[in-house]
Amino acid sequence: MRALLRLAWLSLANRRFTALLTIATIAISVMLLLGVERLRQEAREGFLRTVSGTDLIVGARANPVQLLLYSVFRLGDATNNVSWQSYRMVADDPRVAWTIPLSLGDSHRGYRVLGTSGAYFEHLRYAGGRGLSFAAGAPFEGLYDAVIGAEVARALRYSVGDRIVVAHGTGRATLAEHDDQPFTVVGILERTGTPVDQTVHVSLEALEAIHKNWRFGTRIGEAPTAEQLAAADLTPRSITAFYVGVERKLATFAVQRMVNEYRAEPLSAILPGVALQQLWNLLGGVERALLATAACVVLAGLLGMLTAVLATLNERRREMAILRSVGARPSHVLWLLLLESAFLTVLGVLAGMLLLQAGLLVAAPLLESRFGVFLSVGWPSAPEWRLLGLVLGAGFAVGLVPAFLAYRRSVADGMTVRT
Amino acid sequence: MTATPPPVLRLDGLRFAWPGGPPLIDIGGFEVGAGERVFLHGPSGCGKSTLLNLVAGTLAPQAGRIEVAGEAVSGASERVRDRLRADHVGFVFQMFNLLPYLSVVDNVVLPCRFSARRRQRALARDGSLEAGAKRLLAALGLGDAALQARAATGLSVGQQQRVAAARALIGAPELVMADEPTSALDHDAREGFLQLLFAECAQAGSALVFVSHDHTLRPLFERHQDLRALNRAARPEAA
Repeated sequence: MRALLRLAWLSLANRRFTALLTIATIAISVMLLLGVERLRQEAREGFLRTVSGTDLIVGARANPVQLLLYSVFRLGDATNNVSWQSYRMVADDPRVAWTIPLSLGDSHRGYRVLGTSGAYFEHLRYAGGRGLSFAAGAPFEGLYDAVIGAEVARALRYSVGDRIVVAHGTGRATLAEHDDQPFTVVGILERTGTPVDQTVHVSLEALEAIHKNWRFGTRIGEAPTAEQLAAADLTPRSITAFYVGVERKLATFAVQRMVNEYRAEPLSAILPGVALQQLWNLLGGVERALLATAACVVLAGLLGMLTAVLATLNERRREMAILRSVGARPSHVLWLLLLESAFLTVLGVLAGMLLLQAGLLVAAPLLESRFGVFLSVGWPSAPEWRLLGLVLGAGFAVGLVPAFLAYRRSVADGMTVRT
Repeated sequence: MTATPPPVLRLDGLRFAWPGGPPLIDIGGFEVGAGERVFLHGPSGCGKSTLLNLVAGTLAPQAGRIEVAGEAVSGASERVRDRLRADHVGFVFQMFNLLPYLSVVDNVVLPCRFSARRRQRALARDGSLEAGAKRLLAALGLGDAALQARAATGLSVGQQQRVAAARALIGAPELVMADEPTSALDHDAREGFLQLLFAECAQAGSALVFVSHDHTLRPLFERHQDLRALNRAARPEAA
């Protein structure tokens, strides 16, 4: 067997140009497959961890996925609001550690404007416990202060100190702007890879203030003066939804039941992890299609190997005849060809793994800063090993074809090549 | 002298034809004794390569008996036939004898990779396979170390044939079968090659069956046989 391994290796080395091309083809396909698999895992992880550390999300009674969509992903609108009284009722419950109120409805150049409180910057977690941090500036303090997400800052080239105007409603081309009460950017958040990046954050009170002189979607009269605002009560009458953190995890279900059974107002309290999982299952088809595509590329790579090995069979009949004349059995010829395919597959897979690692080393920081996708460089995970095993198995299976053909031919040719 | 050793090659009532084809081989009887040198004269079309494949065991006859070194090739399983070939027969062909991706020494050592018997005999004689290969190469006029390490394709045809001869002789098989090994060489080189081959066959104690259509080489052999006379199915092409 050792002699055969050596023969297979030397024979391959003798054809190193085509061998290297074949290995490169397999390597690139394997890199793609592993890359897609890793991206898939990380995307899923990242998605499922869009909200973490939040125990419950509370909104008007709705389907959990819908509540998730508008409260976390800022997609669509709430069917109804939550009254301030109901919010206070939950927030003041002794089992509740903290709450983050969310008020949506306005926008800035296509980006949603979120009214919230300072608790947002303190308690919001994503990607398994990462807190929000500031790339520049600080949380809002004054009434007309705004904190923008990383994507907003990048796309609109905003920096701290810029003045922005909030539009009424969520349309991209809305004409109704609160241009009488502009905001000042006081903080820019670090990229998170979550919808936070695409959000303009202001205080609940500010949202209340800019709507003081609005009724039914149009502006009435002059903007309130600073004195008027100072005298006015800027507590909102309702908010869109709120996040809840409980004191002890065990209390989560008790608080959830209390909210869901709340008589005064129909409310829903959802577990974000469960709803995220449901939403991901809806989107899961895409990732599976991606993986299937990558698997097809690997198959194409292996078929390339099949072609390359088959193409050599004719010119190698003499080689096989010589081996037979010095005592090789047809099974030796079979093994020689099998080992050759095995070498090509194993080297291709190894090279693919190295390529991916190298690619990740280069691309990971870029992906993280540009898209908020966290890709870890390192040893393949269990599902990746499984895929690699499948590729190797498929490579050996494909290798059976030329090996069997060479075996048949070697039996027929014997020591003389009939041409 | 002890009892006469069995003939290294014995053919008896041998018949072969491809399925549905005309008979190609029909040999009543033929023997080659140990250490004998036989010139087998055969123009193309008289069943030369078929006979070689039958002796090698890569073809099986329809009828008759083939014995190599006293062991029956005919009727044996494919596995046994492959072993008998590896153990007892060395082959030299007309051209293209060597594997291009192996060094000269590696080419010579090749039979010992497939035959434990020839490996042991080579080791017993020379201590290592490499030493055995180098001794044979040196005896055949290829003693240059740089040349021995070279890839087989870097050699001239004459040199390649001598490497092939060394490969056929390593591990001292009982029988060496040469199929037109000199046809690619010029006349002077032919005789030189044959003298070297004879000397090394005698050294290894191997019998030599030399198949060729070149009559000029005939006087160099102690025994000659016309394959057309031997093979009753021979239908030589018009020359």
